[in-house]
Amino acid sequence: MISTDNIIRTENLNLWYGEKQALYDITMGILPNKITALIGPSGCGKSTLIRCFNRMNDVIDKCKITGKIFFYGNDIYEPGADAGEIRKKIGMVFQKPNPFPKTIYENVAYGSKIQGITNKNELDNIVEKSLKNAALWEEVKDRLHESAMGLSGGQQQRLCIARSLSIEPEVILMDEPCSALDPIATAKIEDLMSGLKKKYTVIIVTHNMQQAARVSDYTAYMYLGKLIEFGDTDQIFENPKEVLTENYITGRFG
Amino acid sequence: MTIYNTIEYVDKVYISFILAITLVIQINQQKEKQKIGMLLISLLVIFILGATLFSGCVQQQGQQGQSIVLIGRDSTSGTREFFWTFVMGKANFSASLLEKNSNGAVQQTIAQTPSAIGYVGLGYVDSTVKALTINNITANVQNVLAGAYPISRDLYMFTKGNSTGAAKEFILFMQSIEGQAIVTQEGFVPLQNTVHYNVSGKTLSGTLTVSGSTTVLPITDKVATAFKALNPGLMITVTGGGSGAGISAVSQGTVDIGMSSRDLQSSESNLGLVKHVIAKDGIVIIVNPSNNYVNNLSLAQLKAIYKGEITNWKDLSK
Amino acid sequence: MVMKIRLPQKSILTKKFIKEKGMKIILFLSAISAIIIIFSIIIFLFRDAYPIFQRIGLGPFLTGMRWNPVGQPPLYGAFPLIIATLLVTLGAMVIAIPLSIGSAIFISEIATPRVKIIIKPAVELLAGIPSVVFGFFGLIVLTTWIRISFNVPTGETWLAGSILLGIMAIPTITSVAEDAISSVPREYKEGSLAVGASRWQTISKIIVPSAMSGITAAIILGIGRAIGETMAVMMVCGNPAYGLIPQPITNVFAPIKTLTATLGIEMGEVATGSNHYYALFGLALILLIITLIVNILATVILGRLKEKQRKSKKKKPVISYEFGRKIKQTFYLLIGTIVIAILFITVGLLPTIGIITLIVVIYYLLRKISVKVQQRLAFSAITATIIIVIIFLGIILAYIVTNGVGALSWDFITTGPTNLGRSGGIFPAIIGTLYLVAGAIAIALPLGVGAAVYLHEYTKEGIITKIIRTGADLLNGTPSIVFGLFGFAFFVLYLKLGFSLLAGQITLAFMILPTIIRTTEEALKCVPQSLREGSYALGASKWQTIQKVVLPPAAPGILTGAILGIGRAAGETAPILFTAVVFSDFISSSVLQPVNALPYHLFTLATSIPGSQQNQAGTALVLLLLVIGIYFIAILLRNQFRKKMKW
Repeated sequence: MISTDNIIRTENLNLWYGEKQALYDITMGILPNKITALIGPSGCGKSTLIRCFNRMNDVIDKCKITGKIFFYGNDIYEPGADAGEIRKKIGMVFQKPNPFPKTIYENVAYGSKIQGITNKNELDNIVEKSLKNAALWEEVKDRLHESAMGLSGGQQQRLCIARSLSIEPEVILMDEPCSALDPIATAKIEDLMSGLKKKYTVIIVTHNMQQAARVSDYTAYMYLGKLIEFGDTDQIFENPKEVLTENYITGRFG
Repeated sequence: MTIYNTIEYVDKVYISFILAITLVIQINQQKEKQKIGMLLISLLVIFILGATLFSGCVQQQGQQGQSIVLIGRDSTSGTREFFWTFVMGKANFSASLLEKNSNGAVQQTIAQTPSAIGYVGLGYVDSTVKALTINNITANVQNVLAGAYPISRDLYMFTKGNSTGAAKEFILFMQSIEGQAIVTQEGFVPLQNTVHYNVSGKTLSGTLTVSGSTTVLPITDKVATAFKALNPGLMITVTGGGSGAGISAVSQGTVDIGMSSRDLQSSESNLGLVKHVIAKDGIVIIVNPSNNYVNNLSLAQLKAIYKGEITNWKDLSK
Repeated sequence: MVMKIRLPQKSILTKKFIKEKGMKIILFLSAISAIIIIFSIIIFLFRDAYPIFQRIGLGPFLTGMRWNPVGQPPLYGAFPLIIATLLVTLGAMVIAIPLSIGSAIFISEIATPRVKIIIKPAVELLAGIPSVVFGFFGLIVLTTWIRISFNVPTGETWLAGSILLGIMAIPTITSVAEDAISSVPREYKEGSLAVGASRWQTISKIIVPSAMSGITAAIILGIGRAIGETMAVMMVCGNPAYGLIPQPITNVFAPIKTLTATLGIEMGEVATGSNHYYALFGLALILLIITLIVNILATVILGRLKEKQRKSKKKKPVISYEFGRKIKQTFYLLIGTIVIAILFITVGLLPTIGIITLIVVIYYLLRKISVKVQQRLAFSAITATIIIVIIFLGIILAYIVTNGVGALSWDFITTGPTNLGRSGGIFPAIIGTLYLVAGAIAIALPLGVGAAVYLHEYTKEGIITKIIRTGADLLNGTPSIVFGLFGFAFFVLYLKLGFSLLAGQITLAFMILPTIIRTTEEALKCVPQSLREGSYALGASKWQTIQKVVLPPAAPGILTGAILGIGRAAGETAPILFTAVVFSDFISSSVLQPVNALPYHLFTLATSIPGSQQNQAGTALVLLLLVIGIYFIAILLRNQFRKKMKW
């Protein structure tokens, strides 16, 4: 999927946790305003890969990376690059909903506040818009100043989506966003995703093949830290080129 | 002592050191330009910190004499009780009196503090402090014996009931010419009209325990060594703890003899203790050797100082 | 279990069953020992304090403005002493809180793993320095520094006490706060970083606020430690007559007399049974009550924290958001006004305006500068805090080592003192300390391990365990001087043990009991449940399982606890001051004789024997080496243990 339109592109990406290599020579390109799904068995490196895109692996000690990741043609691992600036452009939603132990309002306004926005009206607008975009506004508009910890799991996850939308990123990374949710909440998030791709590029890691098939435009299959196959979702699910992919899709794997 | 000379610089050195290390660490972490900015900010921080920390010293340097630091003993001390009764006429001490829990502590504090004044037993005067004369009479053994030195008192040993056995012999030895020689040697004032200790009796054995006043402790310690030489089979243990502790220990029977630098208080009068005077002690008024304001005080001046009516040395030197 | 299937009626009488029951009762008794001890302390203090309340009344005792027990008439006003205790603690917290929280943030969030390995034990070593060594250092160096640097008549001041107490409280606050910060879920941190926040923004806006209740508990525990500290405060605060309150109350250069110092100084010489004696117990009771309140507060906060981590409960806010904001604003305004008022009173108008302008300018400058520079400044400040802490440690160690090393020789540690300790060695003190520590650990270890085993293996979490744990926590927070007074009233007088080794050993044992209970419980927690189930599945009884399966892997952890207890017991002075020690050169041959001990020997030399400087520093060095060596072994053992215990 390498093309000049790529919003994110990796070149020969290798990653080690201490002595152990977790990613091998990943070269792939992500197209804007599409949903790209990363699938594969547990431990295949898909979460590791998605965490490379916004330098979230920086948090982990002893993590070493070689190769390049370009965002609009700029290497985000370049020595002078500011991880904070990159993360403002590439937002992330995590596996487990992780709202801060603050009010709903404070959770959504946090990203804007740290960027120095202090005007209350402006913040109110940002909070309202982000919550609407995350399809949560109607449910919480009367209790914005209550603790976010009181929300249900699905609501918390949508709050986290709203939080990442609040700073108007260009890419949203979703690391198994529905794995901790029940089917109804999952359906709501999936609905939300298809709406999001009008404005944003979405990359999603998922365990759930049906989910990948349902929501994504492109699918990448990873196995043991290697990118096995990457292509159109319909093609991957209906007509995989690689045997490994086919085994996994048809459930013959492990 | 080198520590007091170097300490003036020590603080500045340490603080500069802290900041320098912080700076180096932070600068090492930078890769590019902002070093100069950091340097400037750090210098500013150093300046502000330094200025606030040391402005106090600079401002207060103007000499206005020195205010007197009063050092005394804690409220359970026999020495204090005596000083309070005799010098103060039972008037209250100034509230700024600092209390120390032993003669040694008073002496040590005065050796360390230029503007301090304190009172200790005769045995505690040495070259690290300066002894003042009272009414122009020097505090020494002769003057106390002659009754010329105005501030002196008795030192005691207490036994439960009349003393018997080893305790009796020990106290007799202490009150003898031999024992009193040691009293003199330790810088205290011996008793008058003493007799030689009768060594003809058979040697003692067993144990003898003595505890109590820190003022009496040095004498007893030495006397015990001499007494042990006469009675090799006797084991004597001498411990401090203070007059109150000594009296309560002897009244409970945990020790054979209690040492005290004060007489019994009313709450202790019904414990069945018998008093033995074993020496006399003069109370010396001491100041720091660097004190050039006074060499002599009258009793009235001393009282005024300890009552807090005179608070600055310059008021005395006039 | 197996036995139930086989003839249950008969098995009631089997040897095994009796042994099981017996063991359970023994363990239960050791478990409740902590409660019994804390209650006996309260009862005995109250028993000996009651006469003074009866004679002069509780009100006058608490509110009287003068403490002059030997005056004419005697005055027993505890108020200035209480105020002094609070002031010294306040000063200590002003110093300790920024330094400890900075250090905690540094250790948990900024330090690289390699730096952390060095820094963390270094801060813990600070906790190992005995309080009498702090006092010795303070008396010789700190007070002189204050006197010269600030040009005040005497350095024995409130400030000296606060600095010393601040340093002593740092390790307590740092370790609890660091635990709290480290246990903030990583998800919060990631969530914040993911929206583009810098590390410092994440720390200051997410991590520290999330850890706030843990940090609060840490501070409260630090306050408890500072309030109860005796030896150091007694040696450097000056102790003015009547417990004079500083004039004005913000004068940090005024000498000050705390509750603990009053007890430490006056208890030794007071006539037993006098009003003064009862009044001192009254002070001890006040001290105990203050520390109990402080510790209960910390326990409640920490308990609630644990509950919160277990379940996030839904709760409607009691007050509305807008109203809450108004309260907050008013509160900040009030604090601001008070601070300005204090500044105005102490330094005058112009400097106040200057300081306020400076703060405002700095505040706006900080907001103007970029996030990166903000982070750098903040990290510099935090690095500076840890460096200051390490330098404190360095200065104290360096002073004692350089001054003490001259006195060290083979003769110094193998011969007795001569000339009242000015010359000769410290052999009897070393032996005395070893006797005291050996006895204390022999009593506390079985009791503590038994209590922990009962708590962890025999009961479910419930009201009983809660009460026992609270008892242990309270015992842990009880000031050491209170143990000393209790030991004096109970063992020395009531049980008529006299000043004796035995009384000292039991008193010390009570003091270190909570340490041993806690570390043993932690060690037991690390033994996985599956091991126990494996043993039960083979038909082993409960006690057999504990004895053969649970205790062996927990042994290193228990040993660590025992060593920490030994370290603490070896360094403490206050509990043995009125129960066991005497300044002497003999070696006791029975547990009913008094002993000398290293910390007491140092205390006596430093405060009572002029001309013994060389031997003071030598004794301090030996004591320091002994205690720090013990702590060092414990830390090494614990690190080793933690590595191994990853099942």
